[in-house]
Amino acid sequence: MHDVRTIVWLRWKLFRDDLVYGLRLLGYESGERIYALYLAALLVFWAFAIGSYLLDQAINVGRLISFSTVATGLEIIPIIVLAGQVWVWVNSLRSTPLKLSFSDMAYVATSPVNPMAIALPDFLRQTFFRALLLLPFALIFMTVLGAKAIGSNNPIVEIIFFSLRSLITGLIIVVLTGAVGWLLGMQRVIYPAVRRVPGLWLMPIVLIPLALIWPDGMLYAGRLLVVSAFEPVSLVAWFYLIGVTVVTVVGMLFFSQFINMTQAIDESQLFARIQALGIMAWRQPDLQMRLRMQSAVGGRQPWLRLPKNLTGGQAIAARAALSYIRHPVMLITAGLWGSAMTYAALLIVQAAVPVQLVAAWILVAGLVPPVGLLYVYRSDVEETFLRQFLPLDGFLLLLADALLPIIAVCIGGIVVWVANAPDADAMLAGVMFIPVIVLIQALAGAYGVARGEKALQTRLIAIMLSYGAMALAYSAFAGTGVIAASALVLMLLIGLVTQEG
Amino acid sequence: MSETPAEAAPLLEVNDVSYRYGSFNALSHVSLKAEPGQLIALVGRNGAGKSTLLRCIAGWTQPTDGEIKIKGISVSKTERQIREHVVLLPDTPPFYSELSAWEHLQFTAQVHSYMDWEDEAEELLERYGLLANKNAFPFTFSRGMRYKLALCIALLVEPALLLMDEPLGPLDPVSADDLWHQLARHKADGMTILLSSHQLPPEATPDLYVIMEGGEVIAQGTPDGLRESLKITGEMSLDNLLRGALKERRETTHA
Repeated sequence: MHDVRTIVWLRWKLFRDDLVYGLRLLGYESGERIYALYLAALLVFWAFAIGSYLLDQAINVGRLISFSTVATGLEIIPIIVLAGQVWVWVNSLRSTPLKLSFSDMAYVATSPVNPMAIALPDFLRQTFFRALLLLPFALIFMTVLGAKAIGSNNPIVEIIFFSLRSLITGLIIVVLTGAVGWLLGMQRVIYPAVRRVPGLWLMPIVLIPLALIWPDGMLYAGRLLVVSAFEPVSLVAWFYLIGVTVVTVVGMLFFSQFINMTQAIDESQLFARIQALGIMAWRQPDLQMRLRMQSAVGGRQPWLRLPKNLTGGQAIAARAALSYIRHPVMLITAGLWGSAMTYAALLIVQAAVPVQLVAAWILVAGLVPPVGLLYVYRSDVEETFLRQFLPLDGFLLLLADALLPIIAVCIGGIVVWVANAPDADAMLAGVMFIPVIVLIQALAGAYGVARGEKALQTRLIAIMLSYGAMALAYSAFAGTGVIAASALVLMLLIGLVTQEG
Repeated sequence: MSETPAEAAPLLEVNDVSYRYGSFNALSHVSLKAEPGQLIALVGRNGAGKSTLLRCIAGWTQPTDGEIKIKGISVSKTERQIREHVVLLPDTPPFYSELSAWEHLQFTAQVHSYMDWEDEAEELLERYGLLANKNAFPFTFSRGMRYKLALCIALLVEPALLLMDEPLGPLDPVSADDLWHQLARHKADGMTILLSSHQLPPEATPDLYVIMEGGEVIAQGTPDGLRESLKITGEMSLDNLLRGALKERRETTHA
């Protein structure tokens, strides 16, 4: 028990430090308790306001949908629950849920602390955050269904109770799913032989076809969630779910005593490297992606070869292409990003929405660029040792490095635009305009990367000024204005990237 | 300012270079010259400014004041042009995640449009004990192996000026000795090597020592010249050199 207290204290201290770090980004200085209270009050008020608004909208939407939609929604809930469980268990079998940071490896794993004391707080923490992430979505979803299912004349309180009842069941399912995941995943660090069984992680997928044969067993948890929303569930059913959950958690804690910390350290290397990046892991997702890819390909031989007969800029372009082809996920995400942003732009254009949504689109484009767009360019420019061997100016280097993802984003965008354009003129305009937008994205990002300092702010400002200039030109001179402004913006950005890169 | 013709100019000229981080003077009025085929050792305590000086010479960092010329060409004015003459090896060199060790060499050769580079690349890998690992990814290498791979890449380019930051730090004693013999060979071929180090193998004899402290060059000269001026009586080790230079400086300051 003493061990558990020590580890819980450590985890609380680390969580508090992370929280303070996050609050500092909002202007908090350590020691300013009043300001912390003010921020907390603001957060509660914001959560309440947004939560009320979302629930209100969910009830309105629910009252508009048909009974058949509700029936379909209720039918798919058990399947969604099973799919979620399978996903958690597959991941647990691929890599143990017990993850250690570098400092944990140095000070906790090598100490005589009972491994159960490490597993318990981490299991509770993981379950808490998983519930925090999932349950609000479940609440909204169930409210939409409940608004129609229990009758549109019912008071709002009844609808909310409908959702809350299912939420309690949902919470127990989250705990049960997590505990089973831990129980499975811990076997990797208790019995090292488990790690060597090829394809073992695929086993939980068997549960999906099994649900067709034995739906009562496989879909039990999800069905109970649906039933509990409508009426008080029988005590036997409750005891069954809670009983299984308790037994699983106790079993998980029992087994956790036998964790081999050497194995746990070995399994935690990738996690620790990403965790050590801190906030950079979120600000530069391609950095996190690079570590994951290194971990995935580390022991393998490279596939495909660099073409031998290319020189100069062609060799740089071929090297970049090889990098992307060896990790095609970056090209796929770039294409999907292009599709999603184009579709969002299409909805904005067709619905003639308020200007705030246009600004939000630009903000999203600036804040969340496609992960792979500047993946190779970034490593060329940020690592001066590598840059010194590349005899190209900044813009040519960007073209050579980012050509493939630029094409991927363009294709993703153009396909969606062509499929949904209202008429031939709009289609042609989109096909011409999308590559310009993608180039601006790439150039603005490249300028931020090349400047080194304040890359995010630089990218955001460059994108906002570029789009702002084009919007102003459009409002004053229509299409001709946009073409002129685009040309000017592109020339300016090319000049800046050439100089800085 | 007129540029000195490349034929008549020394390989490297550092003229009164200063570099400030905010209010901190990382380099203060540093001057030195290097000729082809010289081996120069930068010596100094941690934070003396050795790495900053190397970064300025390689064009990785812009000095706040002063000028650096390589073959008579100003580094700050034509930073891209000097890249074919100078390579800096940092103490922890980075690599491309997606390329194997061999592909790094292939890529470097192709970017520089070299012909028939394969034999030389293979020989370099062989010389530095990396041939068996040529198809592995460098991020799976140990620190010493990474440094050797970076050195192979640098030597494939055959720069006129090779800058090395703490080259012996990541290497085991045998590899350090081997490296030293290889550097002597490259020096004999006319390559100028400027390295910063806290240790040198006993048989190492740089042509010139540059001793730094607090961002300043407090002494520089040939081994014999420094032995005389710093009144070093024992072994001509880096330790004795540094102590002698620091003592000399203290005495000059007090006087």
